[in-house]
Amino acid sequence: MTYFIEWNSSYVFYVISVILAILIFVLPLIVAPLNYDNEKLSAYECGFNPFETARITFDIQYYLIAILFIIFDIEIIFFVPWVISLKNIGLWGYCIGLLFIIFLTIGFYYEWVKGGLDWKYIFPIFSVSIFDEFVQFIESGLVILLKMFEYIYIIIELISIHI
Amino acid sequence: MINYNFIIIGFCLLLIIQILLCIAFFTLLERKIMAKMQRRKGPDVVGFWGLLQPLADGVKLLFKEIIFPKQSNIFIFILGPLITFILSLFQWIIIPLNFVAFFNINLSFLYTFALSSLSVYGLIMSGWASNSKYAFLGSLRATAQMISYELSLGFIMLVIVFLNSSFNYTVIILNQSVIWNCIPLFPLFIIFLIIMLAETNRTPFDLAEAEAELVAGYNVEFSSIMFALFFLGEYSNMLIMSILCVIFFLGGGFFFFIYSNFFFIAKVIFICFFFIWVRATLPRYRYDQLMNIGWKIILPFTFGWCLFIIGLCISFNLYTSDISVPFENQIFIYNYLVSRFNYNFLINFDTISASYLYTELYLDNEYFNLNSNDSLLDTEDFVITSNNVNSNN
Repeated sequence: MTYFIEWNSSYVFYVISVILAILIFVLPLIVAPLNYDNEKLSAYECGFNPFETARITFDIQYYLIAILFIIFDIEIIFFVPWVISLKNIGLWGYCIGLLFIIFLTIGFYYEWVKGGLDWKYIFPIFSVSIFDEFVQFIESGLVILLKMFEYIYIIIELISIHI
Repeated sequence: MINYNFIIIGFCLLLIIQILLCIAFFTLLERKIMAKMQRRKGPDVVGFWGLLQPLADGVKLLFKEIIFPKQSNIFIFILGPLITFILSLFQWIIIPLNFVAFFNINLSFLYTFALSSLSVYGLIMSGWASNSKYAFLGSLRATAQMISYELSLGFIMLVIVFLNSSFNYTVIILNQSVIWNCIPLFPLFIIFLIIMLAETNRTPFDLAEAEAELVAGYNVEFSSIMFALFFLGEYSNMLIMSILCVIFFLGGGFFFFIYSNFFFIAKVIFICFFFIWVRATLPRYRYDQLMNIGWKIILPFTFGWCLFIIGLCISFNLYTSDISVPFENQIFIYNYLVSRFNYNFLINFDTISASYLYTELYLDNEYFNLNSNDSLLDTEDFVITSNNVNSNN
């Protein structure tokens, strides 16, 4: 026979697992020998003495990826209620969701065109004027928007036939 | 009378011990299979056929010296492996190991998603606090990789939530009694297998611990039991990902309308074997290739496929109903559940949507009047209220 337990008492599991983890961590401090020396305690760098601080600068790309991740993660969290209630909100709700998706897709496309997703990309500083950049962005965005509206038109036509 | 609290504590302890044993023997499985694929013997000294090897390893690590590096931030340094281990344990309680989860909630999908996002913090903390270049670079790589593949994972999960109109894993399994999701969602199944490897930092995506460049990635500075905690956390994550794959795409324990835990375990072991198989077969990717695949191929494709399926269902008016299981199967599943698990015991019906399905079955009187001849359901046994639960204790 199996047992099911109410969600209210789930904290028992959390408490037990935290206590277990701490116990596992503390045991070797009691049981194992502790003979520290200077070489053991220094940071590992292939047998040499570490000659520099490890708090080094890192590639800006990681930062960009993190920002993009936040945007898309928020998008997923917005989609969760949309997806679960699609049968209640109907066609209107679906179209509103599509609008949201279109804006995000334009942003994603812009990031792609500008090379934010290329891993070894060096950002051009002053090489392109702001005006050119703006025109390029508007052009690429307009093309996508037109296509999107075409698709939406087709979808709405399809649905209206069925209704 | 048995005290209710002791039952809960006892079963939580049992669950944790089973999880730890499962992880331990998974490592043994990996070493054995890798050995056979490379024409070696593998561990076969400790115990019969090397069966006690993981326990021996654990005891050895327990008696090793813990080292806190001189320049490390000790508090965060300790917190890193602890968080990885604890979060990986937390994920297990909503996994439906026996058709219904140990703690059955409606929002299992969100729970899993939140905890898998949080587990990135363990890596960042350990990499930053150990104050070593290898650890720092390894943790950066692992973090960027995990977060970029998590997006595609989220979109795939969204499709499955849409098709089942429920977050509960038990309902997702129930709805696959007729056909497994891997057939209608075939491309997403393949992509899920790829994402699974990338999320758990396994080959061919194990750039966080590439031995040739970064010595061991974010866990270079960790010794003895702290390393063991990382190890346990990673393997537990792998097991959870393979279980999720089975739940989402391979129909849980269903095999041609028959539910059995044996099928469930067999499928999970097959996916675990897939992990090891890939490790023995494929070489490692380059880092820019990995990020390109994640952001330029997998993410747009899953995003588009997600919208395609949702649009398809809406344009053909295929809104999913709450119950898409044929009635005969429902009866079968209901009888199975009542005979196998004592359903009058310890259930809070307000929080369980899967069992809501059965209460609906019971309350739907018109349906039963029509089918009164076949007395499959004994209705009087099946009245469950919170009072009933209390009286059982």
